[in-house]
Amino acid sequence: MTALHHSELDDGSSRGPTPRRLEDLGQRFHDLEEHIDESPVRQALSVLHGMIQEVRRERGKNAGGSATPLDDIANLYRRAPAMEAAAVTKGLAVGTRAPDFALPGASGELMRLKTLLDKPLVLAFYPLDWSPGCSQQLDLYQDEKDAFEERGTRLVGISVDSIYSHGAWAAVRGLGMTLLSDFHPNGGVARAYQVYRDKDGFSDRALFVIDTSGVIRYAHVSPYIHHVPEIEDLFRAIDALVSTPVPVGG
Amino acid sequence: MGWAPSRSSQAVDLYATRWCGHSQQVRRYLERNGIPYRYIDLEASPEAVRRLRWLTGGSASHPTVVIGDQVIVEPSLGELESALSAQAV
Repeated sequence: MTALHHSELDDGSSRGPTPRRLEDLGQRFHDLEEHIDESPVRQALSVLHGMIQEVRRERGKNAGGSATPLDDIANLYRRAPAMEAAAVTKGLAVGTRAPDFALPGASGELMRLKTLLDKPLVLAFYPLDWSPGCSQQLDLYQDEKDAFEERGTRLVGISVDSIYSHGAWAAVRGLGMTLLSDFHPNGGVARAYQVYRDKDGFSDRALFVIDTSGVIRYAHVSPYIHHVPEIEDLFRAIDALVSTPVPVGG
Repeated sequence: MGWAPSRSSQAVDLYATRWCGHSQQVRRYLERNGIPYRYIDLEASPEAVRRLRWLTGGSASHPTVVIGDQVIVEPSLGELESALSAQAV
């Protein structure tokens, strides 16, 4: 009978830092990688490692409480069909006066551009609620709520989805920003901002920063619709706007 | 090299791309919470992609966070927080 060492008995807990033995085995796995050429054997070992990691992950999830049905719905995008394509529009240029609009938010109230301009406005056009890139983009913006507020800006999302879709999507994801429905005529505001994809019936992914006088001071169309712009670029644009006086008559 | 495996059990590696919203969310979370990490840009290194596939069982899904010997593919922030806490990061 093989003797059990005291240290091995101590390593049995699934809580707290990784047990030493597991840590050593993990390191050996890492070290061996460079010695295994591309082959079915390498793939099989990799798959086994991936399975072990997922089992470990599930154990951690169970210890921390099961995911709720709402979480499952929020994560549906992870198994949804990919939405990937190059941008087909360029968007309105910096310096252009932002086209006015009146669109309903999720609660049905009509919002006009001018009523949103009591502070600089970040207008975020995105293709569709529930889709992978858009779910991630709006999650990111929700996490950065404080950063937008500290900069004295308002972020508003806009897509061709209905107010009902916006309401459900925002509730499931915990999104607090205003989402405008550019539903009818479909993409009418996206067309005015020159970011509408005619063949698809939704917009490219585009950001406009509009100053309080209604002038576009920053514009960016993602080169691919599945690309979420780097948020630091957006923050830099907002910071530059705040530090640069609005041109007289601009 | 930037994609080489971590040696410390508490080291945090983030395999990500610049344009991925979820990757940005995880990166910003780590920065907000002052957690040291190594950023591994998958588009800048085919070797990193190969390494990631080795760790995950063939997938190059991102973000993937490696905390010591634990590999978490596309973690939620809650899951990441729990993993970091469990690993005493």
